[in-house]
Amino acid sequence: MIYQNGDIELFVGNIQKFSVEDGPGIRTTVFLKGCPLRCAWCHNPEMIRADQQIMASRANCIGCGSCIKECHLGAIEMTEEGIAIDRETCDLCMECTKVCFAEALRPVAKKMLVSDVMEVVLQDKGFYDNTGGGLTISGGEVLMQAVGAETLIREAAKEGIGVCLDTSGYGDPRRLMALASHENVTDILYDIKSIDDEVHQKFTGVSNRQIFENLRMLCEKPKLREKITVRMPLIGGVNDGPSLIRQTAELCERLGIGKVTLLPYHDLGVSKARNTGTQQEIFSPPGEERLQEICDEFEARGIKPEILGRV
Amino acid sequence: MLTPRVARLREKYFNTMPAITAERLVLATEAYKQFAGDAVPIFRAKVVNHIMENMTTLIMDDELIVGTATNVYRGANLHPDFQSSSWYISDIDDFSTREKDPYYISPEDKKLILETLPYWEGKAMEDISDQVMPQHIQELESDDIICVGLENGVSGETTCDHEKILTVGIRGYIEECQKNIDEMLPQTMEDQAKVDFWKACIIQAEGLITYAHRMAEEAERQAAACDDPVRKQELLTIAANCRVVPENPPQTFMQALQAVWFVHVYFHIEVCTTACGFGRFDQYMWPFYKKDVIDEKNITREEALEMLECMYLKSCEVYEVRDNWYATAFAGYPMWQILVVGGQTPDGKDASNDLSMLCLEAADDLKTKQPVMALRICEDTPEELIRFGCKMTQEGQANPGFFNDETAIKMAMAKGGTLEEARDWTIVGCIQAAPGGGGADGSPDAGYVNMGKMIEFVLHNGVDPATGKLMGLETGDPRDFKDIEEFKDALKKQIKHHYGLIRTGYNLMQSIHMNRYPVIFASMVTKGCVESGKSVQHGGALHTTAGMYVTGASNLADSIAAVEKCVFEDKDITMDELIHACDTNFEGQERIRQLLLNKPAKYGNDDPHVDGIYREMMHFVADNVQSWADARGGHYAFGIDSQTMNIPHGQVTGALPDGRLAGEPLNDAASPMMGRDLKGPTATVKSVAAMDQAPLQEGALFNLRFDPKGVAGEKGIDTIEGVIRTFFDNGGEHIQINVVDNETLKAAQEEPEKYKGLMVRVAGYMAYFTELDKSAQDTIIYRTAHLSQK
Repeated sequence: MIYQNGDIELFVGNIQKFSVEDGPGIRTTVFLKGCPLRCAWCHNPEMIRADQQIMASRANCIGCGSCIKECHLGAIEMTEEGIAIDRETCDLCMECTKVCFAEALRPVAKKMLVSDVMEVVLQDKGFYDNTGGGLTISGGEVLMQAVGAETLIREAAKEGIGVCLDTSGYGDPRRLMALASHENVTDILYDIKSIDDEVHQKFTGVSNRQIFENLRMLCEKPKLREKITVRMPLIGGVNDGPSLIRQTAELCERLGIGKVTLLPYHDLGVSKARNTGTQQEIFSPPGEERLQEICDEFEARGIKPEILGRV
Repeated sequence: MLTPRVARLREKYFNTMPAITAERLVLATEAYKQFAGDAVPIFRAKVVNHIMENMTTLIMDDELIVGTATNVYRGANLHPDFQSSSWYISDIDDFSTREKDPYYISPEDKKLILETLPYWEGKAMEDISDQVMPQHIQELESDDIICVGLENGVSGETTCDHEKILTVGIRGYIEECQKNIDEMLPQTMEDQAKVDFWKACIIQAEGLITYAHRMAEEAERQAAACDDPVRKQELLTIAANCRVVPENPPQTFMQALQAVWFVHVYFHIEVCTTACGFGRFDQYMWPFYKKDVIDEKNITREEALEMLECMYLKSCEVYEVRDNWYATAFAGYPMWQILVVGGQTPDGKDASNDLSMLCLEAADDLKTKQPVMALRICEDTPEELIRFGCKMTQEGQANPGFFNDETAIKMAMAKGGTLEEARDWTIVGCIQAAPGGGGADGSPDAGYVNMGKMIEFVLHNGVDPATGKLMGLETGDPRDFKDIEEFKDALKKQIKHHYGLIRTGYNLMQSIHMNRYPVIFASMVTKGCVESGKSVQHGGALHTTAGMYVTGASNLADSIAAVEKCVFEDKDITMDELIHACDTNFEGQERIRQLLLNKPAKYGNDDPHVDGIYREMMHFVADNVQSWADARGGHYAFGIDSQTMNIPHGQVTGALPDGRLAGEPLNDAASPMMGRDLKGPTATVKSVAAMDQAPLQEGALFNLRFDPKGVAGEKGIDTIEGVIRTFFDNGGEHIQINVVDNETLKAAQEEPEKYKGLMVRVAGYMAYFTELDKSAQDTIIYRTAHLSQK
C-alpha cells in the first residue's frame, strides 16, 4: 500500500541487526517475506510464502491453553508433542498469537512502513559508519516487493546508508535493473543455485533462464558488475558436481564476476519449516575435500572464493 | 611464544594451589606485643618493619624478578587486625575444601595459626565494626539488602606515583620526610600527627630497603651454591638489582621492573589489600625501555618481553583471603591489578609507544588472569595497538578491557582533576577513572544497594517479604498508586534512603580507620600524602573519593517498565495480582510471567523508553550520592558495577515484576539482564551507552558477549573494533568482550530462558539458539567447540 506522503508498506519477516555475513561490515538485514522459488533446502522457509503464517515454537510453549480457548475455529489442539495447528482449518485471524504471552505462537511477518523500517535501520548507523556496513535487503525475494524495496533504498540514500541486495535474480529485469542501479546500492549478492536448468527446475521449482539473463544484463554494465558477488548454496550430490561447478566458474569468468561466496548446506531450516507447518527434506553439505576443490575451481579463474554460512 | 623459563613459571602457577601461611601472622603478633604503646602510625610502621626484617627471603628457580608476600609460592597472609580471628578459626578446616576460592593450609601452619589467633580475639576492625555499626544497618547487611565496605578490609586500591618512585627512589622519600620533620616543631595535635606520620613513613621505607638487601644476600647465597653458570649470573644480577632498587632510582629496565614489583608486593605485606594497580605502566617504564632496548641496545626486545612476563607472573602470586560470603560476591580470587596502556599524554597527544604493544603481547602470551590489561583509546591511538587488543578479544581472552579516553577524562575531572591530570587518568579500582599521576585515592567499595530489594520494599510498603520484617521505608500501599510516577517516586525514596544508610555506615568505618589503621607505605607513595603529612585514610591524597555501586540496575529499569506497561497502561493485571504473582514466585502463574517477560520493553534492546528509565534512575542515584561528603573530606562517587555480588544479592531477592524468578542472580553490572537482550550486540551496546555514562563518576562496567561465529576471521577483528568504536562514539566508558564458549552454549541448552538472546548467525539466516531442535543445537555446539580451538 502506498500512502499519500509517499510512505509505503513492506511485508517484513524480520529485521536482524548485527548481520556480519550479508555484505561488508556490520549490517542490518531486512527480510522481506515472499519468494517465487521453492528451493528444497531453503534456510528461511518461513519467508517463502507471500502471505502471513503462524510460527509455532513448541520449545516456548508453557501449555497454558489460552490459544486453544481463543481459536474460534477450534484449529489448535494439544498433542503429545505439544501444540498443533490444523493449518487447513486456520484462517490466519492471528488472535491466538495475541494471547500467547510466551510467544510460542507468533506471526512470521508484519506489515511495516518504510519509514518504520528506516527507524530501526538508522539505530545502527554508527556501526555502519565505523565498519563500512549498511542495510541489506534479503528475503524471501526482494524483487517480489520491488516498489517498496526501491523506496527503502532511496530513504537509505538520504541518510548516507549503503545497501546490499540479496537476490535470487528471479524477477522482472526492469525492476532488478532499477534497484541495482541506485548509487547507494554497493553490493549485490546474487544467488546461483544451479547452472543446469533441469536440476534447477527439480529443486527450486522454476527455470533458471530468467536468472541467468538477468545476471548477464547486470554484468554488461561494469559499474553494476563490480557490485556483484555470486552466492552458491552447495548441496551435496545436487549442485556440487564437477561439471556443474566448472561451468558456473567459467560463466563467472566470462561475465567478469570477481567474487563468489560458497554456502555449504546446513539443516537449520528444517525446524523452522516444521514450525510453520511444512516438511523439509534433509540434505548434506559437500565434504571438506570437495569444498576445497570447488574453491580451487574458482580461484584458478581469478575469482575470489569465500566460504560462509557454516554453522 | 613463551621462552622455556616463562613456560615453566607459568606451568608452575597453574599447578599450584594458593596457600595460607602463618609466618606473617606470627611475626606481626610478636611485633604487636613488642611495640604497643607507640603513636598509632609509628606502632603500625614498626610492626611492618619487624616483618620485613624477619620474613623468609624466597627466591625461586627461574625467577628474574623477586619478592613474595609470604614465605611460600602463591601464599596468602592472614590479617587479623582487619579480618576477625573468629572466622579464621571457625573456617580453618574449610579453607582447603570450600568450593569458592579454596586455600591449602599445611598442618604445621594450621597449628601455628591456631596457637596465635587467640591473641586477636575481638581486636579486628571487623569485630569493632560489629560493635559500633548501628543495628539496623547490620540487619540490612546480613539480609543482603545493602553492603557497607571497610568493615573487614583496608582502604586499599592504591595506584601509586610510580614515576616518582623510579625517579627519586625510596631513599628520596625518606629524605623528604626527614626534611619535613626537621622543619616542624609541633604546636598542635595536627602538627604532631604529621610528624608521627612522617616518622612512620621513614620506618616503613627503611623496612622495604632492608628486605631488598636481605633478598640480595639470599641471591648471593644461592649464586655461590649454584653450579649452572647461567643461573649463577642471573642470581648475581638479581642481587645487584636488589642493592640498587627500590632504595635508589633504577639504572636499567630490569631494575625498574624489580622496583615496581618490590613496591607492589609491599602493599600486600603491609595490609590485606586488593585492587592495587600498576597505573600507566607504558608511560613510567618507557624511559627505561627506550634506553635499554632502543637507544643503547643493552637488551633485546625479546629479553625485555621475558622480564616483563616474569613480573606479570609475580602479580599472579598475591592474594587477599576472603570469607565465604565475599568469596561468592567476588568470585575467582580477583585482585584487580590493572595495568594501563595507551591513551594520551597530559598535553593531549598520543601516549602509546612500543612498550604499550609489548605489554599487550605479554598478556597475549601468558593468558593469565593477572594483571588485567586496560587499553585506553583516544583519537590518535594507533590502529595497530587497538587491533591487537581486538585480536586478543576475538580469541576469547576477554582481555584487554577497552576504555574511552573522552568519557574517562570527564569522569576524572569530576573527581577534581585538572585537565592535564584528567588526560593522565588511570584506573583506581577496576574500571574507575581517576585523575592521574598517582595522586588519587578511590577508597574501596563504600557499598552496594540491592535494587531487587528496593522493588520488593515498594511492593510491600517497606516490608521485606523474605523475612516479614519492616526493613525499608513505608512508602505507601502500592495498590493505591495512580500512575508509574508514584511507583518511581516510592522507589527513589527507598533507594536514596538506603544509600544514605551506607554513607552513615561508611563514614563511621572511615573514622575508625583514621584512628586505628592508617596505611603508611601505600600513603607515602601516593601523591599528596607526604606533602600534607596525612595518610590516604585522613584524606592526604590529592584527590579523594569513595565509590558507591549498585546491583540489579537492569532489573530495576525492566521492572519499572513492566509495571508501567502491564499494570498502568495496558491494565493486563492489577497491582495486587502482580504482587501476588511475585510473592508466590509465579507458581501456577507462568502465563503472567511470560507476559511480564515478553510484552514490556527490556533494557539492552536499544529501546529509548526503557533505556530512559534506566538513565533516569541511575542519574538520580548519582546526583544524590555524588553530592555527599565522606568522613575524610572527599566525596562519594557512583558507578554501575556489581562484581559478582549480583549472585548473593539475587539469592535473597524474590520474584520481580520483570519476570525474574526468586533466587536467580540479578543482572551483571551494566549489562542487561541475562537472556533479555534479544536484538544482538549492537542494540545492547546502544542501550548501555544511552545511560549517559560521563556523569557517573565511577563509570559503568560492561561485559558484552559474542558468538564466536559472529566475529570470526579477519573481518571479525573489524567487527569487534567497530562495536567498540561505536560504543565509544555514543559515550561509553568501558567495554570488555567475551566471545562465547562451548560451555555457554551447553548451559543455554540446559537453561534456555537465560540465553534467549543467543543468536545463531549464518549467512542470510537467523535463528535463536534456544528455538532450535536439540539436534541442531548439538551441531552448533560441536562446531563451535571446533572453531574455538583454533
